[in-house]
Amino acid sequence: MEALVTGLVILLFIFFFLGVGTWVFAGLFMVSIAGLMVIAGFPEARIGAIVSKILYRSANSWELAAIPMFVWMGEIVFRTDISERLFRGLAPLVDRIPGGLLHTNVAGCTLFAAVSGSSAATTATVGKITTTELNSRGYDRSLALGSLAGAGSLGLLIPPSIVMIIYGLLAEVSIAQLFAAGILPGLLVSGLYTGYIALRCIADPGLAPPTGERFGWLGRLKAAGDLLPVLVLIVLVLGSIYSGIATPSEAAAVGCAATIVLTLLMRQLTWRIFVDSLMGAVRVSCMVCSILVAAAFLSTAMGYLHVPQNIAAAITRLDLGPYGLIVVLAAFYILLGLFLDGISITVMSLPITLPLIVQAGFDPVWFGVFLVVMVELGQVTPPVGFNLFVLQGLTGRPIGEVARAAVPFFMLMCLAAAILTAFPDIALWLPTVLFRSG
Amino acid sequence: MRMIVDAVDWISRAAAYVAAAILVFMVGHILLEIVLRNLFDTSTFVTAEFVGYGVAAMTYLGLAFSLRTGALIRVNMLLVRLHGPARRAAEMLCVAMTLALTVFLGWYFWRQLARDYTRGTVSYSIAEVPVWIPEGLVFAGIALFGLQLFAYLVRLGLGDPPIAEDVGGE
Amino acid sequence: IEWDMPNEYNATSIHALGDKYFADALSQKTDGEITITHHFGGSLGYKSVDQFDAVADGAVPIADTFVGPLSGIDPMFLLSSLPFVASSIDEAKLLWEVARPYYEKIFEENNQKLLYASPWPPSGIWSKTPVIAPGDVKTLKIRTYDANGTITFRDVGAAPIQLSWADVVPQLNTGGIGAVLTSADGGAAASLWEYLSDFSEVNYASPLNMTHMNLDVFNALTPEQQEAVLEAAEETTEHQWQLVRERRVGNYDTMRENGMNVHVDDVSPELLEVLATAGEAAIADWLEKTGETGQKILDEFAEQAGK
Ligand code: NA
Ligand code: NA
Repeated sequence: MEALVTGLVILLFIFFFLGVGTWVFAGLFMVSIAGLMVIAGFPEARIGAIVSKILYRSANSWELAAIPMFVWMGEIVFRTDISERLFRGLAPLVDRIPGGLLHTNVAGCTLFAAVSGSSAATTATVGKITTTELNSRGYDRSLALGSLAGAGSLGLLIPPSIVMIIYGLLAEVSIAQLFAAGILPGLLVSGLYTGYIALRCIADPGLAPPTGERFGWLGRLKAAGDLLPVLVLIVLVLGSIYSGIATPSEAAAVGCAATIVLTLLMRQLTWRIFVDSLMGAVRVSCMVCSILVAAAFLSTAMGYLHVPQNIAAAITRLDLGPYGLIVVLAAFYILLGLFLDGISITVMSLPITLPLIVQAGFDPVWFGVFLVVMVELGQVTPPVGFNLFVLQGLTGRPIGEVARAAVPFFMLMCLAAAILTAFPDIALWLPTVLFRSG
Repeated sequence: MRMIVDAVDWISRAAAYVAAAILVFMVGHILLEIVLRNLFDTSTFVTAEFVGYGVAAMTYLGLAFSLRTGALIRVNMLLVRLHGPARRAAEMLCVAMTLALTVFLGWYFWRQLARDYTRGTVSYSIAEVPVWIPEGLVFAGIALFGLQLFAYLVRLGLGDPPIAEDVGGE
Repeated sequence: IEWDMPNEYNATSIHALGDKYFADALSQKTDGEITITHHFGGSLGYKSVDQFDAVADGAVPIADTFVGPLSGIDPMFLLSSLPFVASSIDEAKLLWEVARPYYEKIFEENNQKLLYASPWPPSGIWSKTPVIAPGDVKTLKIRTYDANGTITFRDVGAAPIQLSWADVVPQLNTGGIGAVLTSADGGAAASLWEYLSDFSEVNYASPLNMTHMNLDVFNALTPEQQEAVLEAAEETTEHQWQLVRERRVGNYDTMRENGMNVHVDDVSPELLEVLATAGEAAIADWLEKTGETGQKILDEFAEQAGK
């Protein structure tokens, strides 16, 4: 009950401070400070002592470094003709599929998710490349935005994944098994999205304009050559991770270097593009990282307000069976996801939810995957949804429109969570085969 | 007054260039680490530490420029419905609130920075970096952000239009 | 009275167990007047290195902190992380008892009260091939966790690598590194046996966590409550030093169950000597920073340990 009231008051603060129109990161700081002041009754000096530590600690982070680097990589790709070639190359491959180039969002995010460990980086990188192109080709904006918001969060489900690494360290679960467990559910989500887009476009062909071109097999083969630069980049980054040359956190730097070298070889990279892409990356990264810092502070404030503890105590009192527990936990995570980012949700809730889960007899590897899906849901829900923020930043569309566009994809992800609960082997089969045999 | 406001813009842009240089440095540092580890069986021993400083410094140093160029997003539910003087008043309220927040953050972070400086706190890595250096970059970013907010307030007072959100398509 | 108590480590870590033990003892002694809300796994947003100032400023009333990183604030805190000073749990306890007044003074000068110490199980080498003789460490690509470890292993011809803990498992998986220097406890928590086959107990160091509280908060308590806090702290210290012995045995059992070779008695004295010699540079460096005080502590420790 207490937690509910606290949550409601925080929500009110969010509506007030963000609604007035303050910059999102500043608004979140105000919400947290107001929460500590009004609900917890902390004196100003104590809040100052808390915030002076958190504003530095949460930004001084090796784990965050991949975001600016991948964003930079996306900016270079966007400003050179690699992105245009990508679409030229994909067009003949998808021209028979209902939805056409709309599938580049899902396919692109699925591929890029295998390279990047964060969903903000995935959404920003792929979004930078696709949104302008799709818009100029007359595709339905809502479907384009929604599929990007939904598919961007695959960055966390398909390995490598920052949230999975953090979960593995906190829950003392094998990270290798978690990575393996995320692959099939990731493809499941990706498949659901693709199917949905195709169905929508069959029902209403107006959503995806016909390319008007007809491609023979020779044309298709030639067009496939246009995909080469992107494929080279993906192979280089993935190769650096799986050969052990680079860690997943370092892979973003490999991606930047590879993109720079490749665009130099293609005689695409000018000094002007180099500087512009860099400044573009700084602006987007500042926006994303400053909001992440503010979200970390909000998470700290919720910790001081004992929100997770109180909710867990309430759940324990309900004395639920395993499936009841999962449903209630899902609701709990969707609620947290309204306000917080993925890493904060994981760090803050896990010490409390993990014992409940283990006690109910769930496999902690399976729960890791389930948790990632829950965290992904939070990326696309307002008022604080990072994929929404990134897309607002990229397209300039109001956050309400982006959020509405993401609704069907939110529902599909909920469906994926339900399927995952009914058939846990979708997650557990691969790690069992790879690690648990014998 | 104009001159001061323009000077703040100039400094904001310069700080953003520094942030960009830091981003390049981060990429370079990681590449160096990869080369050292794989080819020479050694390490810089400070990659995670220095790149961490880089992220913090880049984030805060770029803040003023990002604000000025409309890259920092906001929930535009109220603002888009307002026009003319009402829009200007709402904008001034937002800026004033954010400026107050920035002063609050800046003051307490300054105390932390001053303590670490007088105490001579260093990082616990092999590099023993005096922590006031990365903290100083962060503080510079916060201070500059405050200045930029103040300049924006002045500009709104002088009758300039509010900053438009810029999606950076250029 | 309600206290929030952050701890960077997981709810199942030895330090978290100590915190719960302390909270229970304190609640019992005060008839529930003082209750503690734990924030494990860094969930309040602080790392150990932040908690020194956070407690001093009253951002949190009490915290359980790994003190190695505090050496950037006062080099005294490096003492328990020095390589091969204390070569057993008994010696680590003795070292803590000798140094305790000095730690207390530092905390007091910074508006804090030192309550109890909780030791880490001794660090050893997790590796893909047995590391029991001096030759085995040559060219070993090993992840170390602090500056001393880096210096020590560099000096014996190994290739120490600095990596964030989150990157350790992916690098082990792909062969980027071949060994990890960490406690039996830390490695077990990350299931390192999935990638590594051997553990050598070299008793590299037994670092400490310390629990410290804000002095103003302490002074505001009634004399009875203060008494209860100090009593509970004493009991927790004793409990933790007993627990660490059990954890060590338990960790080794778990490691063997997971197919690891645990080298305790078959680690050659020559290897230990080579490592200890290399570690002397780190000790000398520390003595330079701490001067007379440092020397006094080491002398007193050597005398009492009969070294
Ligand atoms: Na990923
Ligand atoms: Na959300």
